[in-house]
Amino acid sequence: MKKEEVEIVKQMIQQFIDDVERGKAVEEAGWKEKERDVEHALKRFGLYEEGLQGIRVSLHGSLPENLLKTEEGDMFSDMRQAIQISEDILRIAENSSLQTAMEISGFAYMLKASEFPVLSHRLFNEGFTDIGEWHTAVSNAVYLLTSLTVKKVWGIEDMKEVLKPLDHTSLPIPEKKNKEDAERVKRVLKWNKVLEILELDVCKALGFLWCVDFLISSGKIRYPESRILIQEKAWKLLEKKIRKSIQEIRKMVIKNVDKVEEKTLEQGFAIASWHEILRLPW
Amino acid sequence: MVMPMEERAIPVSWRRPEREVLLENRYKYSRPPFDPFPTVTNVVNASKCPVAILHDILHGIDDITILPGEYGVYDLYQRFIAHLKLHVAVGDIPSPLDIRYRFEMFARAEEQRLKENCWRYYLQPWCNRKLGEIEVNKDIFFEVSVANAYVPFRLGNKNPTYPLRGRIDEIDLKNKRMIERTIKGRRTDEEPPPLKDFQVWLYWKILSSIDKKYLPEAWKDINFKDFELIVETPYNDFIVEKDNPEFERKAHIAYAWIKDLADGGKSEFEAYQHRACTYASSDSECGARWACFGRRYKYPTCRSEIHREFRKFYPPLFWQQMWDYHLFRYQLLMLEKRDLEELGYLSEGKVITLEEGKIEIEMDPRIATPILERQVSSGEIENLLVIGSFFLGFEIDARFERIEGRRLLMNVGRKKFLPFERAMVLPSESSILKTSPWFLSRISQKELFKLERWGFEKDEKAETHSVIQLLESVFGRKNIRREGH
Repeated sequence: MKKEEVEIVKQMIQQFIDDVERGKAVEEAGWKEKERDVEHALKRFGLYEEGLQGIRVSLHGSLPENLLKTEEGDMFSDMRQAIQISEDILRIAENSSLQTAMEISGFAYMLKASEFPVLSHRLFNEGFTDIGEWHTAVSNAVYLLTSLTVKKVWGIEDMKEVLKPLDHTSLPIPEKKNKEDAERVKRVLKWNKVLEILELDVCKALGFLWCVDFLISSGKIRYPESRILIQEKAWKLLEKKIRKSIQEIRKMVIKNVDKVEEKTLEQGFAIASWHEILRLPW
Repeated sequence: MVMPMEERAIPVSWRRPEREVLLENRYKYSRPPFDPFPTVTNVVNASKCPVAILHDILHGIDDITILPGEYGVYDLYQRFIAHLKLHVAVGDIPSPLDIRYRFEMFARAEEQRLKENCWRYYLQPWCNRKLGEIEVNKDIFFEVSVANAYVPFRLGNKNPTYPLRGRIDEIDLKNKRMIERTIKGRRTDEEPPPLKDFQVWLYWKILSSIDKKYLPEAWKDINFKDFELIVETPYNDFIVEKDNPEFERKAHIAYAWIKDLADGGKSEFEAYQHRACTYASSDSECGARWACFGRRYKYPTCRSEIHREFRKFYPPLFWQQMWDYHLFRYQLLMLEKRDLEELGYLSEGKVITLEEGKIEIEMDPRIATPILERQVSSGEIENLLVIGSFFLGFEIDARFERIEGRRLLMNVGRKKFLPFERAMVLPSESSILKTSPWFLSRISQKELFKLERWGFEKDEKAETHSVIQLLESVFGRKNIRREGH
């Protein structure tokens, strides 16, 4: 392949990235009026796409090694992966049998990822002797904490049944583990009290966004520009679903978690850093 | 994704710490129940770009108006001009013939290339232009600290207030002017370098907002509202218009971003939606460019897992800085002297002499107890010495030497003269007795972020690099095996 052709394709990729960054929808990005040498170069790389707006670098087909080695090529490949993930999210979100399962899976994933920062005096009061013991216990407690939330907040008795559709997806399914440990964690966190405060829309929002976050991470997305593409789509879906604006959703979550922190104080002290446990993915 | 910054709801209401928080009766944990206490640099960063302030707050990246390689030159330039003017103030006027020699002597400990660059590109043009203008003037002060927890910024008919603090490069009381000095700018410029005018205006906003009762006695009758604002580059001086609605609006938007990013009201994705530049047209003058753009190397292959694990530390590390440092700044301005003494932070006295880098302060030995306690219990001899008031004064790193009767002796380095008598000794910013050293959280943020970005492209290099292999094992799927098994 000629150096000039690589340059032409690189420019087309740059245009795509720039258009996306400037707010154009993926479908509208990267188009250029048909020019013979551009058409020729794109065709040579197997990256030719033609539409009503002209031609652009295709979002499908594999990128040749010498393009992948360039910064533009690497970023474009990451963005293509992100576009694919956005489409998957849309598909899952539109499937009613998967929606709740997705939220629950995300909620459990959020709990697991938090590692539960709790004040040490609270741990000692409940008989934990060191932090290592706590970390082992919390990894066993995610299932119980999630299933209790599902029952109390979502109003669903059988979590297992709701999670069944996830068997055919890559989304994480919480596993049942040591019940004794889980009960102790539940007591430390005053989880029953927490569940009296947690609102359904807050749990749905957290669950959905953490599930998206799992897909971003497992999809190995590396560039913030690509992450943003997915997050933008996800937030739009969430706004529609909860019928609130992004700002309202954020405020709702912060307010609800503030309330959890306030209502679970012990002798004036917070028992856990709740904003690090029940939090929106960054 | 680039959206105009103007699409912001302003003003935002700023939460200051309540009295029980100020008195530290609330356990310092989780998300603080108050908003940050920003510096002028934070506000300038936020007004340039939301991603810049995101990097500042979460990734410990400092002043984005200075490129990473410029810090050394910038610092030397500032220090030498201050040194020169302080000498002129006492009648020691340099001639064009010996100025280079003076610089060489002043900078003899610096690296040759840095020295050469500083002289050739910045100081020489500055000296050519300014040397003849410097007059004997004892009323010039450098690095003056200003702060106020309630600085008003106009918005329509309202004047919402925000906290703000900073350090002014130069105040000239005789000629009634404030100078923001920069190495940015070219000979042909007709306008000040971007944001420098806004920066000097912010300093002036703080200064002119301080209630007279909080000004140091000697400066009580000065009307800072009248002062002229100047941005000084090596080649030009620019006078900055004070009555500028654009600056007021810029400040409101910047505060909205700071608040939202600090308390989770917005996150990475919204900041990137409003980023000031794009990959294709990135701003080469931005000090945070390396953090925004650039290749994500192939190795480590578990980069997204690393990001997932690291990012959860960024907000709590910032909250820690807020508990440890921002709260301290609120305390200094919002608590009474008695409260600060009871917290064990403040020991106040009167400056007696300042000679050859030693300051002598008259102080009741009982008041000096916290200073001695810090020295005895943990060997801490570094203190923060504030001369003047917490609103307007000089913040100096001072090393405790000894106390004899009612006389406390401290080492303050190169300071030449100070105009006030009131001296307040506080724990140094790195004190482990007061709080955990806040700047370590900032370094942790920066190092974590750098590690997130670091890596190699070539297979052979990555395969033999122990750190890459370790990262792959900790965050990826590689199994660690002991050598020889």
